Amino acid sequence: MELILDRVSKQYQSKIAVDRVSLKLQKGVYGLLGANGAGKTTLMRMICGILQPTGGTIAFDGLDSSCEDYRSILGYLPQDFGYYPDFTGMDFLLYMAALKGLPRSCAKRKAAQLLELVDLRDKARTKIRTYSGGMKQRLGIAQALLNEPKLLVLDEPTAGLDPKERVRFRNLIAEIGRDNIVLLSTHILSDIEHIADTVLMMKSGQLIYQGKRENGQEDLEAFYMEQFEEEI
Amino acid sequence: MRQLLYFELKKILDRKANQIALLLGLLLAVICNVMQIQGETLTVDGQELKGIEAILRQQEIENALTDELDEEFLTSFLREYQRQIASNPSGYNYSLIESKSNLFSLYAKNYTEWNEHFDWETLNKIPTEGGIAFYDRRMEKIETLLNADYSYGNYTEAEKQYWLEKAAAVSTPFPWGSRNTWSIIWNGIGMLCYQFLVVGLCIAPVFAGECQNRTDALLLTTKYGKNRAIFAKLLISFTFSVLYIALCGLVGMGINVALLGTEGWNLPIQLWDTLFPYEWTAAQACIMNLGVMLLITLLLTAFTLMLSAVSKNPVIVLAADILLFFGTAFLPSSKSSGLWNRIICLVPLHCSDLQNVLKTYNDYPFGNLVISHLGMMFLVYMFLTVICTLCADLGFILTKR
Repeated sequence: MELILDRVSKQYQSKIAVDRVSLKLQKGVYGLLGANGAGKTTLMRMICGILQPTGGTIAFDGLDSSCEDYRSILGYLPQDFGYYPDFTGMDFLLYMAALKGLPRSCAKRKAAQLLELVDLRDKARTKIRTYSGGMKQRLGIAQALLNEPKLLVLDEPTAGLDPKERVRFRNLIAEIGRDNIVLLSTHILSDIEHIADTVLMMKSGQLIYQGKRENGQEDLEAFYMEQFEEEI
Repeated sequence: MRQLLYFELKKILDRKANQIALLLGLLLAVICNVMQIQGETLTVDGQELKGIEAILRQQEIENALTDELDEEFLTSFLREYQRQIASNPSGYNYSLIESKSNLFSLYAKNYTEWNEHFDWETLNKIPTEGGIAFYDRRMEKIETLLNADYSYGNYTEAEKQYWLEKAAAVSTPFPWGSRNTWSIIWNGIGMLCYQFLVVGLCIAPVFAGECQNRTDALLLTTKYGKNRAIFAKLLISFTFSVLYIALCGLVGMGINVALLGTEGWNLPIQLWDTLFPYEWTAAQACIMNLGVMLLITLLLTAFTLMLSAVSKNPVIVLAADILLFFGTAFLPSSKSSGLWNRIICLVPLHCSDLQNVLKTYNDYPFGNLVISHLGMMFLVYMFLTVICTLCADLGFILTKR
């Protein structure tokens, strides 16, 4: 299981959002750090096949990011998680399951399991418009896990979660990361400290650091500040 | 795929604005048809009748006149009218006409010049000595229309031949009966153009709503998000629009048929205007008009989907719809450019008025090949529908890149 990014770039007219990023990700949890505008979301959207790179390639076990088979192993939680306000939580998961190609009977079972997992079982038949921010975020996490993704991309996944939910979420991600590739971006360094095996840092569209967390960065915050000293 | 179609339909029907628009649209369809019936009045023997009673009474009177409009009947009937007018010291009297107005208007239209509005006074000016040659006059009027001088270009010989052959092929003498029910049905179908607003409102958010809800990114990362999901959106939008317009049309027809019956369905459309060059019955014309409405609906849906796919705001999509489908009706015709006039004849609101389309003898000549207004409308609308649908299909993915 390997996700390979080979000199991936994204340019918008005169602005280079992502500049020749090369990566090789295997099973595990990867924490992506960077200041606002560093190119994290653009990189993640390219990995998810939403944006087309202007240069370079992205492939998972030989599958190009633009193909259907690639998307079938992908789970994605966007930074700005959108939903259909008039759908219930169950409707939303069933719709996402249909989009992900899950058979109907399997979809119902899986949706019920995930609603239980994210503690939304009681709200399964309630319209999403009535959910709190944290509940919506948990629903977003549930939809990302529907197809048991081999590649899970999470953009700011803990935003809006309360401390208890955050701990549950970290445990869940750590478990998924044992057999799959999980790439998550966050501003909350403690999330990375607790979950990520590998830290990736981006600055001005470039990958400036890639390394195991245990390789000498016990105090991640201090290390992070050091990397971004000039900006701060 | 069934699940995707179900959820796409659910998205359309779940929106409060759509629910209100659909409800008001259907209500409007009912009201328009009921009001047409309620609006009918007839004075017979000093007694004023209204609504269904007026329509049925006029049907009775008109049906009693004759079964067929042969030259002998037409001449003697008009002669009798002119005699009554001549013996009436105050001259013209509408009460003589009112209960048989459909027949009198047929005379008046047939004998009015093609470029003039008909006038009841025309009835007094038609010479009846030796017969009124009603059907000869019809062909003469059509020939005059085709041979007239137009500042934007005259009919070619091929066009003249095309229309004259069509007009001459219409069987004469025309059978006669009351056309009231089918006049109301036909007018009701013409009013369906207001329902295009409802279709536009419901379809505009199909793609743009994904951006508005910020679900577009999520959708595009799923296995079927770039293919089947888009296909499901397109399919359900077309199905929804066509079924809605057809439903409104059938509701109108149903109300009229339930209240007034089906009498007159097999009368020739020439009883509305002798200029019509097609040999259709009233029912066929109504179905054809409904077909034209559905054709416009297809283009409206495809155009809306195309804009929706590249826009982030459904309101902008709806505004563009209104501009194209209603605003273009105000484009002025040209005194010098036949091409421009032929183009504006194809704008949706002009096409939706089938009675006008049938009597304007507008066509599209390509050398000796002449394509009628209806034929060209079908070709252009289908072509644009396909193009806009393809653009919608690609637009949603490409604009997110």
